[in-house]
Amino acid sequence: MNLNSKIPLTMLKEGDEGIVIDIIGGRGAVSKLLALGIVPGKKVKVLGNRGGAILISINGSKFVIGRGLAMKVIVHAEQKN
Amino acid sequence: MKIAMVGNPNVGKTALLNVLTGGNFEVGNFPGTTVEKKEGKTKIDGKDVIFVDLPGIYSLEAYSLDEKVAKDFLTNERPDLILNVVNASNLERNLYLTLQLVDFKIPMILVLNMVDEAEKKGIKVDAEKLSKILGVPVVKTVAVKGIGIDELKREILKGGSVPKIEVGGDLRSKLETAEKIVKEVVKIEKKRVDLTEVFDEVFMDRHLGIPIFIAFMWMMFTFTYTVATPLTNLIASVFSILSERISSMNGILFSLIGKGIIKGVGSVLVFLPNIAFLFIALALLELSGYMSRAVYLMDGIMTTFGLTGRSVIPLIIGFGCNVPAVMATRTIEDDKVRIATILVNPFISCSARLPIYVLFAGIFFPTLGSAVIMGLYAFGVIVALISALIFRKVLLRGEAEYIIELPPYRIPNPRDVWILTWNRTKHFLQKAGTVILAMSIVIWFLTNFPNPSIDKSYAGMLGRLLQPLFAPMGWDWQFVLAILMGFVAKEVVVETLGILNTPIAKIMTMPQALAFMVFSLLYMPCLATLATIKAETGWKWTIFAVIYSFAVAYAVALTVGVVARLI
Ligand SMILES: Nc1nc2c(ncn2[C@@H]2O[C@H](COP(=O)(O)OP(=O)(O)O)[C@@H](O)[C@H]2O)c(=O)[nH]1
Ligand SMILES: [Mg+2]
Repeated sequence: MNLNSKIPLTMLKEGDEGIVIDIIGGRGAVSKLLALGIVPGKKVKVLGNRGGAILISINGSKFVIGRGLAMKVIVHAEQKN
Repeated sequence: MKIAMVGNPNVGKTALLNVLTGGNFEVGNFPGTTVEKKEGKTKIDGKDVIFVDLPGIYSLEAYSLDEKVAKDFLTNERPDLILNVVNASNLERNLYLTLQLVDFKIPMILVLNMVDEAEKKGIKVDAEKLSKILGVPVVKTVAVKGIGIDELKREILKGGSVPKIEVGGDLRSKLETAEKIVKEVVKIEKKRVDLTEVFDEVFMDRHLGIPIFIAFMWMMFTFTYTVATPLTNLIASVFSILSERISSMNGILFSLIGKGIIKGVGSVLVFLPNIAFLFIALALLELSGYMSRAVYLMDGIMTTFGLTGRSVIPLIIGFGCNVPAVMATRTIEDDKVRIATILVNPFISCSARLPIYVLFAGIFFPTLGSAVIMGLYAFGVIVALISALIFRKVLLRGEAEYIIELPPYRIPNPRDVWILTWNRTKHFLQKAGTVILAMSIVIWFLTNFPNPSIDKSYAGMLGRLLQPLFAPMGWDWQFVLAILMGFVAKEVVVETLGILNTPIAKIMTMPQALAFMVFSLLYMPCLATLATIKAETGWKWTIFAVIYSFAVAYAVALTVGVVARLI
């Protein structure tokens, strides 16, 4: 996978980290995610991605995001060492 | 003085309200516990104060119902003071809302709650500096231990102050400001091991997560049934003695009270221990923080059937009673998923249907009894899930979106468990109690007039009249009458057969019995459940629920009867 690419959050695997770059979608979805602290520039870690909802940790909080909504969060995958 | 409590979900607003007013409001460790606004009155230093507990919200953009309730209140009712409750260990995110509250120009006090949890995580907040930046008083509290409450009361009497900080109107500039403020006032020291992380390693494990969830559910049901059984038996015998004593006296009034009211109401009160214990178990799951983990664990399976992880809890509650289960769907934000979850809920076999299975399985499957009963429960779940899939593919199409925050694990406080359990049990008693009382009288009338021998009563006539409808299943009129009466509450099915002295083993075959059990499982939500469905979704879906479930029950019972005869 191209490391510089912008990918939806759903494509990160369990244990992967990324930086939020953009939130696409309607005003409702965007403002909801922003208000929860899912904001461009923040580091996000995927704690669980098993086909259903995604479990993430961001800003010291954990969230369960339904797959549909997670598709709207565009991240920049971080290189793992 | 009118004071609004505003803050994110699960920051301790209700807990704070309880210590400030000495009230008994429900706290929860599950986002979205306070759905409507609640008021609490008290006196501070002789001054009358009204607190309004608003639903927890993340922003005031008014995209969701909760946000609208809060925004409308602040705009239209202009409280004298806002208590903005924030979680000290998650200040940045909480400040987004604070910075939106600034726009209202209402006097404010910032309550920095949960400082105990923040300290455990090594997070220190400089309250004085924060107070200077925002231009409002900042008070540190631990609501559950009553720490900081006296100081908070003093500040309340002073009336707070209108925030002086300058911040742009759009959300993005508020986000930036929040980040800057946090850099100045929050210090993170070396972290100690966070127990929540340790628990999540186990409970959310890829392989162990679901087995542990199933184990918890199994424990919950053992607790609900086994532990409650002695109490159930006690209540049952008290009511049967009362009923016999009173109805043995002469006179129609004693017959009404003994055979009608006490017997009928007793048949429902018998389930009180089961239901109360179920609610205790649920309160423990909720307050400990496990409930939202279950949402994640089950999401994959639920999405396969067009639902989301959010539907799991209402479905589980349905095993106890469908009435609170339907009410519990209120936390589902997607309307279509919510309606689908409500409509399939009655297929989840509630505790009231168990006596029917026990009776028939005992007669027709003496050795395989518990397997048959387990099978019926499983069958209900399958019908519910398949129906959900059909509804979401045909009637309620559309992508569901949701996001919930996982709270940390907490040890449930017994007082909070009690408040949650009692409020829900009370609700069940009120809803079921009124309906059952009325219907007990109706049944008594139907079975005692015009002739007290049931055979010649209105009930007997009604059973015979409707019997042809169920002729393909081969059931006698007594069973038809039992089903009809069971519409009031499923436990009445057994009661009716009892009153009729039905010689079940003599007039029914095994395939017919199997079909009857399946039909009882599926045929229609009971009256109390229907009333709740009506309140939550309106007439259209209620009528749909009746027709759909009856059609499914009829078709399935017929098939089961035929297939069982062939085997
Ligand atoms: N450790 C700790 N827990 C708290 C504190 N305040 C509230 N809680 C717990 O946090 C959970 C959420 O509280 P609740 O009052 O329902 O929050 P609300 O959603 O804002 O009304 C409950 O389990 C409370 O017992 C606190 O100061 N410290
Ligand atoms: Mg609350």
